[in-house]
Amino acid sequence: MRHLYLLPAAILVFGILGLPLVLTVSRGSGHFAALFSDATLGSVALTTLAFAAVSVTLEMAIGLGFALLLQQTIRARGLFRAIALIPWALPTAVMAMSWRWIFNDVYGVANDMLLKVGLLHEPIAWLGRPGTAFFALVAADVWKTTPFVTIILLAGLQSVPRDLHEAMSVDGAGPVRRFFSLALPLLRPAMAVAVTFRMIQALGIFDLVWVLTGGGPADSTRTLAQYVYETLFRYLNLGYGAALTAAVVLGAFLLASGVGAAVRGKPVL
Amino acid sequence: MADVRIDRVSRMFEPPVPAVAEVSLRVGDGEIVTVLGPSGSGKSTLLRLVAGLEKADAGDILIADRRVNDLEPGQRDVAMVFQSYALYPHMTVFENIASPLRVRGMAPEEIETRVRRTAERLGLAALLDRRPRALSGGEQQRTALARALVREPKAFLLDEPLSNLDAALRERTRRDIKTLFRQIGATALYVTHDQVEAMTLSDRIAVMKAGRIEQIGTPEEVYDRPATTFVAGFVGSPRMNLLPADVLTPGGGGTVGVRPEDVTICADGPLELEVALRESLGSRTLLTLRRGPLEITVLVTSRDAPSGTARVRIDPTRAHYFDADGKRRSA
Amino acid sequence: MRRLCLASGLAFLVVFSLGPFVWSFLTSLKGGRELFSIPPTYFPQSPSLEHYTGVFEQRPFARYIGNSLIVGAGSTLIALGAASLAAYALARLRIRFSGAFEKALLLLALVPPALLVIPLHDAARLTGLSNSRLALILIHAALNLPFAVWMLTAFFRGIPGELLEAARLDGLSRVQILRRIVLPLAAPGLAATAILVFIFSWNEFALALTLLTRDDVRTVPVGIAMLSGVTVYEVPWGQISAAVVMTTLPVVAAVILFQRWIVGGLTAGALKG
Repeated sequence: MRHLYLLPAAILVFGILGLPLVLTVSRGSGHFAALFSDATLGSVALTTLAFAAVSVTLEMAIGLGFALLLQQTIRARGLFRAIALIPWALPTAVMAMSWRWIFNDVYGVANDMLLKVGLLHEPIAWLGRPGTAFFALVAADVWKTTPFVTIILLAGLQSVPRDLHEAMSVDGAGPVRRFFSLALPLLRPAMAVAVTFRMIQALGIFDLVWVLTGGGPADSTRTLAQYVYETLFRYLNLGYGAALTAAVVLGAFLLASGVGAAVRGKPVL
Repeated sequence: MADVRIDRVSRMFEPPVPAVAEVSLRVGDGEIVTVLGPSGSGKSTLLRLVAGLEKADAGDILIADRRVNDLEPGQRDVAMVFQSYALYPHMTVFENIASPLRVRGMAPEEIETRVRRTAERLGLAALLDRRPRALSGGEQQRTALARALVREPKAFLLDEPLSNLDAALRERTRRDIKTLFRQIGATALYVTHDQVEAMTLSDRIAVMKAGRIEQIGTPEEVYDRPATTFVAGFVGSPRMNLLPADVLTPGGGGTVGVRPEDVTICADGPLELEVALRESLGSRTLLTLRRGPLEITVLVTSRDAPSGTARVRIDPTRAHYFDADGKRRSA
Repeated sequence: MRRLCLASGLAFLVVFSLGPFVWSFLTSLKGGRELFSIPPTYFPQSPSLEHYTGVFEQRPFARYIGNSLIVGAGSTLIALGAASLAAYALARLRIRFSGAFEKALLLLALVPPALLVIPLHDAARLTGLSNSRLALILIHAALNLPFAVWMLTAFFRGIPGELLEAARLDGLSRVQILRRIVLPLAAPGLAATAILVFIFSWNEFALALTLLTRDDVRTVPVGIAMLSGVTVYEVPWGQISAAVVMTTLPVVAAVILFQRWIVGGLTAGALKG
C-alpha cells in the first residue's frame, strides 16, 4: 500500500526516461562494433574531454572561492548568494546568444575591454578560429555552471561544526591554516559530488555549443552530444546513433564516478 | 601555569541583553575554579571570553598579568576542552593530540615524545592510530583532554566536558581529572551546571545567574553559608527547602532555608503536616510533607520513615535566613 | 585588510555573475545605428525600445512565450505532484529498497538530457506524439522528478517526527496527515522546488529543439536561437538582446525574490545527500 506513493514518480521516470533508454540500447546493439572504427568519434571525444577537464577545473577553483566568500558573515549575504546563483538559473541557449554578441570580433565587448586594458593589441576573431572558439566556450560554460559548484561547496563548508574551527583557533591556527588543515580535507566529499555531477554534465554538453559555435569553426568544437544529434538528424543513422548514445552515457558515468572517487579519498565521517 | 583575572567584564547580546554583566573573578595559579549555573546564566559565554572566542564589550581579561583582550585565541596560550570534544574527524588520535604542537612548528621528534607521554598518562597509548569515530565516548573525552594537556598551557578552560558521558563514567572521569590537575598544578576554569561536579572538583566555586555572579567561595562556604536564595536552592542535593520565614518566626518577613537533612521528625514537633510523597533513595528516604500551601522535604533513614501525618521540628541554628531580596541576613 | 579582500571578492562575484545579463540589457536599448558602432558604446546614447517591439513583429515571439509557459506550468504541476507523494513516502514511511529507489532516480537524472535526444525522439515518433507539447510536458516532468524528489525528501525529513505521530494518535489517516500537516509545513520547500522546476523547464533546449519543430509549438529558447540568420550581417542582434532580456528578467527577479527559499532548499538537499 505504502509503495503506491512511489508509483506516479516511478512511472514517469522509469517509463519516460528508463524505457526509451533501454530500447535505445537494444536498437543500437548491432552497431557497437562500428564505434571503434569511427575516427570522427575519436576526435570529438577528445575535444569533449579536453573541454570537460578545463571547464570543471576552473569551475571548482572559482566556485570554491565564491563559496568561501559567501560563507563569511556579511550584510545582505542572501542577496549576494542570489546574485551568485543567477548564471545557473538563466537559459543556457538564450545566454549563449548573448555570448555570441560579446565575443563578436568586430562589435563585441570582450575585444573592446581587453584592448582597453592592454591585454590585446588587436581584436581577436573569437568564434572564427578553433583555439579561441574553444576558449570562448569554456568561458561561457564556466560562467554558467560555477554557481552549481558554489552552492554544493557552500553546503559542504557549512557542514563543518563550528566548534572544530574554534578548537583549532584556540590551539593557535590562523584562518589560512584552518582552511588547509580542516576545511579543505573535510570538504572532499562535497567536492567529489560537485566534480562527478559537473563532469557528467560537461561531457554531455549540447545547448551552449550548438548556439555559440554550432560545433565550428570547421567542427573543431563539436562535442559528443552534438555528434549524437547529427547522427540522427543529419546522417539519419538511427541504429548507430543509438549505439553512440549508450556508449557515451556509460562512458561519461564511469569516468565521472572514477574522478569523483579519487577526489573523495577515504571516507572520514 | 599562571593565574587568570577577569575584571568587570561584560558582554552584551542583541537585543541589549547582558550575557555577562560586570563579572569579576580571579583564578589563582594552580587553582581550580568552577563556574556553576543553570543554562542561560552566561557561564559558557564567560569561558569563551577568556578563550578569546568572543570579544568582551567592557572590562579586562588578564592571563599571567598580561591583558589579553585584543589577542586572538591562539595567542593567549590557553587550552580548551569542548563539551562536544571537537575532535578532528579526519585525523587520528595521535594527529589530534599533536595538532596544537604542529601549529607551533615544534620539531617532529619532540612532538612524538610529548604526544606519546601524554597519551600514556591518559591511557590512550593503544589508540593512537584510531580515528575519533572508532572511539568510545570516554576515549574521545580523554583524547580531547590530551590535546589540551600536551600543550602545557598557562590555563585550562573546560566547557561542561563531562555532560556527554553516562553517570558511572562521569564519576570516574571527574576523579581522574581532579587527580591529574592536582599532579600538574593546573590553573583551570571549569564550567558546569552540575553542582556535584562543582562541589567535588573545585577549590572555589562561582555561582552564576543571569549574567552575574551570586557568590564566590569554597565548596564549604557555598554549601554552609549560601549568600542568596538562588545559591541556597542550587547547591546541595536534595534541594534545600526555601520556606516563608514565618514558619519559624511568626510575623517575620523574608525566606528561611533549611536542608532536608536538617529537618527532624519528632513526636512533639511544632509543625504537623501530611506525608504526600515518599521517594526511596536506598538507605534513606526523601519525604515530601504538605500542609495547605506549605511543602517541606525531609530526609530520613528509611527504617524510620513515617506515613500518614508527621510532626517536624526545624532547628533554628541550622537554618539560613534571607531577606525579602533573597540576600543572606546575618543572624 | 580583510575588509578589502572581502569587498573586492564580492565585487568580482557581482560583476562575474551579472555582467553578461547587464550587457544584454544595455545592448537591447541601443538604437539600430548605435548597435554597430566601433568601438562599442557602453551606455546607450539614445535609448530606444525599437527592438522590443521588433521581436514580436519578426517572429511569433508571444506564441513562443505562451508555449514555454504551458510546458513549464504543466511539467511543474505534474512533477511536484508525483514528487510530493514519493518524497513523503521516502521521508516518513518505511519503504523497503527506498535507498535503491533513490539511487536509481539519481542515476537516471544524471544523464545529460541532450543525450536522450535519440531515445525520446524515437519514442515520441512511435507514440505519435511528435510536435506535441504534452510530450514535452511529460518529459520535462520526468527529467525534473529526481531533483524534485531529492529536494522535497530533504524538506519532509526536516519535519519533526513527533508532530506526525501526534496526528496519528489523534486519528488522522496518512493522506490527511500529508494534506493538513506535511504540505503546509513544507510549503517553502514546495515553493522553492516549484520555482526551480519551472526554471529548468523554461530553460531546456535540446529536447525542445528536437521534439517541437513546428513553429507554432516552439518554445522560447529555441525561438531565440532561431533568430540568428546565416551570416552575421543578417543577425538581428538588437532584437536578440531584447528577447534575451525578456526571457531572463523574470528568472532573475524570481531568484532574487525567492532566494532564501531556493538557497535553503538546495543547501538542505545537498547536506542530506
